[in-house]
Amino acid sequence: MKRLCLVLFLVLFLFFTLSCSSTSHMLSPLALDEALTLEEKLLSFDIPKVQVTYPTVYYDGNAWRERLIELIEGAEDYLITSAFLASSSEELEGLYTALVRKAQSGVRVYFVVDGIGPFDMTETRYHLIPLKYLRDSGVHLLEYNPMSAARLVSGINLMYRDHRKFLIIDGKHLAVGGMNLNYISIGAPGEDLQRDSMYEFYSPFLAATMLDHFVEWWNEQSWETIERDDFAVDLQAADGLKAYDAFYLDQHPKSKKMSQLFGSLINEARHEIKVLPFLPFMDKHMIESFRRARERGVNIQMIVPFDKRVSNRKGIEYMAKDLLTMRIDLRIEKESEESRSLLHEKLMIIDDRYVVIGSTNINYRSFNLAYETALVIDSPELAKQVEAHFDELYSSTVPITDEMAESWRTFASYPRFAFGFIGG
Amino acid sequence: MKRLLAFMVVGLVLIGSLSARSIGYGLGYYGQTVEAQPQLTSSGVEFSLVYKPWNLAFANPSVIARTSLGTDQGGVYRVPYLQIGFGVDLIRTTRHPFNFLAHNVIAYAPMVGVSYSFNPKRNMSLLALEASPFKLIQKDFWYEVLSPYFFIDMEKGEIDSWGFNIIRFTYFFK
Repeated sequence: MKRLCLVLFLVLFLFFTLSCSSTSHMLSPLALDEALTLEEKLLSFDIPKVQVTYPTVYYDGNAWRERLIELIEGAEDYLITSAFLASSSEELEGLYTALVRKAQSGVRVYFVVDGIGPFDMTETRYHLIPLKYLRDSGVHLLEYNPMSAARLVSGINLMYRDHRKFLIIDGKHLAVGGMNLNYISIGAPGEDLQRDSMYEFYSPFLAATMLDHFVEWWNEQSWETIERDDFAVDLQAADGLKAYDAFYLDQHPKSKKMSQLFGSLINEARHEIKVLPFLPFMDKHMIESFRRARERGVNIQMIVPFDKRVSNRKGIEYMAKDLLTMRIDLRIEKESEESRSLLHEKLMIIDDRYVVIGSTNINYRSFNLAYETALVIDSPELAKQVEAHFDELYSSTVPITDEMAESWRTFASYPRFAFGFIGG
Repeated sequence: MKRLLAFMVVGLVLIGSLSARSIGYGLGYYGQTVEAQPQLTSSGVEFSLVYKPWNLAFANPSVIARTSLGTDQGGVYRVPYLQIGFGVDLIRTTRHPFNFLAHNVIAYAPMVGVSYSFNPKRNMSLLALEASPFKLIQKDFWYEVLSPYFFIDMEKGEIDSWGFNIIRFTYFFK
């Protein structure tokens, strides 16, 4: 009887969790409406249009760390940064010392890290110095939804995580992408260092939009109330620089906007989509959205990273059979010295024109259960640049075949898949 | 005029509920002594629902409904009280010595409360007075420890029972 109750509880838990999925909005009439332009759709979803300059792209975590230190040292008024995983280590001492110095010099430093940070189970766990000491130097440190015994009372809400990675400095310099502020993202030597990307912009318009979101969000979380007017933005600072149209989404858990954004983008594709999903734990609506694009004749290439962590890899491999129903060019990285550095990057390129970057994995968790950022940039030049990067990755992949997917679909891998689906 | 005032009050409360984390639920552990019937002395878990429309720095009110489930001296499961009442955070300050306890900046907000309480077993209505002298709060969470309370028999004008909420955690939905 007890066992039956437990199973019933688990079924109900999964039912309520999964039934709250917003991904059906990927296939909503508005997202699929052929009469509307992409811009009309995104604006109707309340996803603001911004102007951005051409970004500098960093694919090497150590190079980004050095640039980050430069940017921090150049901050004059305020600095805001957010990361899903952030901790110090011997290798990151320079970075965190720079932050401390800035805060001590009177620059307002706001640092957000997700509460899962102290439970980092990557290689970082051997190089993890908690960041609470930053507070002593005047850094406004906020740990989102901390993991503690007391907070078990919040139940399912513990699943909501802040997965965003961004930086805003003085309303001009900013960065978005996939890199965390921990050892494996920006500190490790050799194969421990993840392959990822950060995009640095000089863009007051985007900074203003990000600040609007940040101030409201911060005040929902903290007693240290801040005012939007205290974060100045010089909108003329980018005058004369070439600008590109972009759309910025700051997604909250349970929101349907990420689904609307990606549904509209996939529906917009006419000839090609290239995707780095990171952990492609997709539900039926996500799969259907890609499948329909393929049915329209869109060539879709998706690269699944090789994950040396067996547990994660088995979970994704279990998913492969479902992913193949999209009938896309589904690839997996070959195991090699290079691919042992995990490909953590998230990227989508549509029709050699739209580039989607940010923290969002193409999976159920990112679309439903997390704070995420997504920036859609309308720039054929940038698309060309990142496509070259994608194609290089593509050259080290092999197609996932029906036979491979069938052999990976084992009952033993199901728990890893289930865990990855909700928690990945 | 009275109707207008009532609408305004309801409107203010609704605006409050939409603009902040207003509705929450709590889980705690209580222990209580019934003076008149010591065999009904019990301990167990307490469940609560809280509505706090505002985040005022002084005299912040909340409406709280509570019930509990515990075992008495005979090991029998009892519901010692069903309660509904008001709590008031007297003051909210982040300048206190307990910040080291929390991951984030946490505020100290001692609370006092008054409730109507009903004891189903004894079919008895009582007035409940409580205090939470050690209450720490974040925007989405309350932590309370060692909160004493008294149930007063209004007919007799004496304390009927008393106890402590040893620990109570309350989570507020966004």
